[in-house]
Amino acid sequence: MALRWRLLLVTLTAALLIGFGALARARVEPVSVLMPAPFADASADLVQEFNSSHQGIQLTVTRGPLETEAVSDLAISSLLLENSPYDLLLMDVTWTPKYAAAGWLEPLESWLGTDAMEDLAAGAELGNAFSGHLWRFPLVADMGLLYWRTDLMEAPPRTPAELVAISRRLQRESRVTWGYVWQGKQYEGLSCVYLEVLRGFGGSWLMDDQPQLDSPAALAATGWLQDLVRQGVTPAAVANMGEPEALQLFQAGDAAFMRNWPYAWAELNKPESPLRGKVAFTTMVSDVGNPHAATQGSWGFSLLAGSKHKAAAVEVLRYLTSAEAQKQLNLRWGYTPTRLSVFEDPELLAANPALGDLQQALAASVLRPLSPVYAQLSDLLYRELNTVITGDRADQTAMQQVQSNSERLLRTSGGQG
Amino acid sequence: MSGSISDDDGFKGLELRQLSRRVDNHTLVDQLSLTVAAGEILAVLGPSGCGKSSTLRLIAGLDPVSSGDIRLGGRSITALPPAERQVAMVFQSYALFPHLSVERNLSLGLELRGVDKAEIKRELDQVLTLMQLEGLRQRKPAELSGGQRQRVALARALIRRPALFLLDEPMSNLDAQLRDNLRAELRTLLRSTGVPVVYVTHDQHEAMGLADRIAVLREGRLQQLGSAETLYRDPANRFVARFLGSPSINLIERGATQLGLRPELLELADAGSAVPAGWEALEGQLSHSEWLGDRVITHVQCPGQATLKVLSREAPASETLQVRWRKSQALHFDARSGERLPGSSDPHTV
Amino acid sequence: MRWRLWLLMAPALALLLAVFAAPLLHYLWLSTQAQTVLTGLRPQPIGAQQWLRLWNDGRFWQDTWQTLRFSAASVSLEMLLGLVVALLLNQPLRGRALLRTISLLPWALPTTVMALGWRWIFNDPYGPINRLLAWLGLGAIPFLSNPAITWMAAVGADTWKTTPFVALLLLAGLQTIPADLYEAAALEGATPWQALQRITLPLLTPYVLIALLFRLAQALGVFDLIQVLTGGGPAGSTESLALYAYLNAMRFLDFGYSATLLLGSFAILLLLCSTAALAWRWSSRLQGELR
Repeated sequence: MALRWRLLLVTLTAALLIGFGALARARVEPVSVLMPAPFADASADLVQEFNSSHQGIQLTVTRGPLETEAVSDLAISSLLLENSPYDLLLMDVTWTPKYAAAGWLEPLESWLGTDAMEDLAAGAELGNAFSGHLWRFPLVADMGLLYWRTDLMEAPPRTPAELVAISRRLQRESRVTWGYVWQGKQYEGLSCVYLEVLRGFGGSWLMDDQPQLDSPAALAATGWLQDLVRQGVTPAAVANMGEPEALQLFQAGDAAFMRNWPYAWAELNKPESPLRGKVAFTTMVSDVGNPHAATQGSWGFSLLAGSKHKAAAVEVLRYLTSAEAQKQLNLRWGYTPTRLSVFEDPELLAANPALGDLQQALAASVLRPLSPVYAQLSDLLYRELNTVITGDRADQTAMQQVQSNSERLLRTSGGQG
Repeated sequence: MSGSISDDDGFKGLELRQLSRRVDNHTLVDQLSLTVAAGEILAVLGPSGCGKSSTLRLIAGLDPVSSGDIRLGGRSITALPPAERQVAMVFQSYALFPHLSVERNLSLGLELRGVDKAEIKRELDQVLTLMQLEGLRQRKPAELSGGQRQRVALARALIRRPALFLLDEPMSNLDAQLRDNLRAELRTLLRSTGVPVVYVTHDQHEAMGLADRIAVLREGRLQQLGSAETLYRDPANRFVARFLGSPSINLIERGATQLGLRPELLELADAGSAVPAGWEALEGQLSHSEWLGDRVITHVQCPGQATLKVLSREAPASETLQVRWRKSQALHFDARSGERLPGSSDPHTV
Repeated sequence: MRWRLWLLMAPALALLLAVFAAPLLHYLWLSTQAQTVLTGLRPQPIGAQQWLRLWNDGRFWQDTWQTLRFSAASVSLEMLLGLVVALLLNQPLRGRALLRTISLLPWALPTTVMALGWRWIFNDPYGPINRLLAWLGLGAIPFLSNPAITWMAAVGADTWKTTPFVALLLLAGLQTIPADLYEAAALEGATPWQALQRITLPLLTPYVLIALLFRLAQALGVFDLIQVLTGGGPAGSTESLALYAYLNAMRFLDFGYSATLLLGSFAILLLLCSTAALAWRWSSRLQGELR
């Protein structure tokens, strides 16, 4: 028998089997989740466990793109067609108000009950509710951290001036090429960096729905970032640095400090990393009397309003965000939990001594403005900030521009900021 | 050196000396030597692939020479690039510049050589009048008929007043009627230039009607060079004998020899007729005959021979025929090599 | 008889209408509606407000200028290099088929992959170019972090990617030119350079125009290269109209303004193309008279 006939036979048999299998499972409720690629990979084991322990539900995970905004593009494209194949979305904290205002999300409070948030660690509860409803339940905490080299200094700087002083001393002594690397590219990451510095200088992005970006604190924060580049503490190339570029430079041992997310901790401590065991992290520097801020960047599940399997989807949500699941995600993949009970788990603490520091950073976390037009607000900010960093515009002019543009945006959006 | 005065041998025409072109292991032109006098038209004749176009391209300088020399006006031009050879060529395809008007097609060469505008205009007017192209000045080649294109191609060659004229099958893209009409016209025109003309063709009628002399080429080698009459009556070998003449020459097998007999030299008689003294005959069956209007070609099948063609004024009267000829009129060829043998002294024919 | 003609053309016209006119009309309508996340994505009529906003939107005009600058630079470079490559590939070289295949590779690569590659090449300080410069003791070039340089880096990447396309089109054109035209020109006394000017370029014109049209249309709509290579930065210096329209639609969920932006850039494109066509016609008529 020719090979292709054999192949045909095998294919047909397989098709029949799959067909029968589908028939047999017809009474099973399918639940589909879209996640960014890293989360999809990390949760593969949990999904398998869920499917073997829940006969009535068939859970499938769509492995989305790697980049945060690319995942949003994919989700939005499907939602715009009004027939999204997904029941649950793993959402970035900044998307929630936009998606909620667009009417794409189902309020969760009636599904999860009032005590659902009680186990969350301080800081993890932020950014899930908007205009009186709960739209998202957090799976993984994420916050901006200041990484520092334990082989170059005894203790990390706590004020902006200290950071600059240590950097310049180390640079003078030729122990590092650069002092401090961060995310200065024209994108969301720059807004995150700025928010931490802004808080450190005592300012805020919005106050009572009014932008505060031409305040003295805002100008001080902008000026400080600009000076970092001007003084050579930060390379001019920062104007095109995202997280991977900053990590690359820091990991090569070319800088004393780096601002990044917790994922960098695992990367820096990999066996092949030149900085393994020579790094620690803390929260961002701040002027005396102001908080050390960490921008919130958590991920959580939202239930889509168009889902036809809401009850099953909620069961999936509960399972994947449970303390046991979060513990596994931390043990195997290093993801930061959101539940207090997981942070206090002795087994985890033993395996991951940095957990306590992460919990503290989470407690210090600050939210970016919760607004349906946040994407525009942030776009206005990081675009002008990038202009300042590249030296194309004076910081004061730029910040006045951001302020007036943000004011106009919030005015035309009917104060729904 | 090739261009120096001392090199001048005084001959004003074109001379090829032992000219060869080899590509890889293939010889396209093999030790070709010939001369063309000023004002003379030489036709280079042969079947396709015989090396006639290759020879033309060597003379024009479009392909490099492997060995030998090309001399024009008494000096060697072998090493000169095409532009400096003062050679004009009419291509088989005419190679007119499709984006230029007739006028600009003609004037381009003069412009490139820096001739001044008034001069160009004068020459243009003259040539356009001569070639009856005045009305077509602004036309693009695509807007011309085949005959008009050919005239433009000729005009483009004429306007430059070249020292040598090369024509590569210039009539092959025209219909038969037009070709016949143009032949005499073209001959007069080419003659009037007073420079050597090399005219490549595979058409024997064209060669015979146009040229002063004909060079027959086969596989890159010169077979014979002479007037049309010489080539026809006194061919150097079987190849030349067969290539010229229509209908082609009859070859009668005679052991190691072949007799060559032109169809018009054969006579028909009834089978069994007495053969006159000094004549020879074969008998055979009438195969068929072609009526040409003024004459008839009779095909006769004689045993052991290829069908013989007889050209006569009248159609044969019977089915079994005698074909006969004067012994002295037969050409003798070596059956294997095809070389011409001394005819009357051949013992077999006595 | 006329109506029969129209009848026969009706299916084709209907298709054209459906494919081109219908979306344009829909966008025109959408440009008079506020359809944003704040209206719950329901369209609400707001008249010409968004057109007014477009007129006053400095970012729109900046992006228009940047898109035109990018297109003009990359397309002219591509045409020039494409012509050179096509002329080289048209030479009877040994291994020409292989060379042709290799030279096509950049075009075959997906744009995003290509852009990622260039992002690495342009990396400051770890990209190969800057490493080489450092090794030579020279300073690094801020390819992607200096507004005065980055747009040129984007032009460079785009040129690398699309020159093969232009070269291929022009090579096809070159191969339609019979060899005997060059031989005739040589006999007429033309040098290779003169043959290029007098024979090759005029005969290649239709192919150049086709390549120009294709490339201009693509370059004016440049999106994925910019998105991956620079994200529109630094300081917004490489943001294209397409990227701005995308941001408004997919990031800001402001579909009304996104439609206005698209129509605005379409209008500019139309204006530009008709001006170019008129200029072309005028210049060729002028040339015809001169001859």
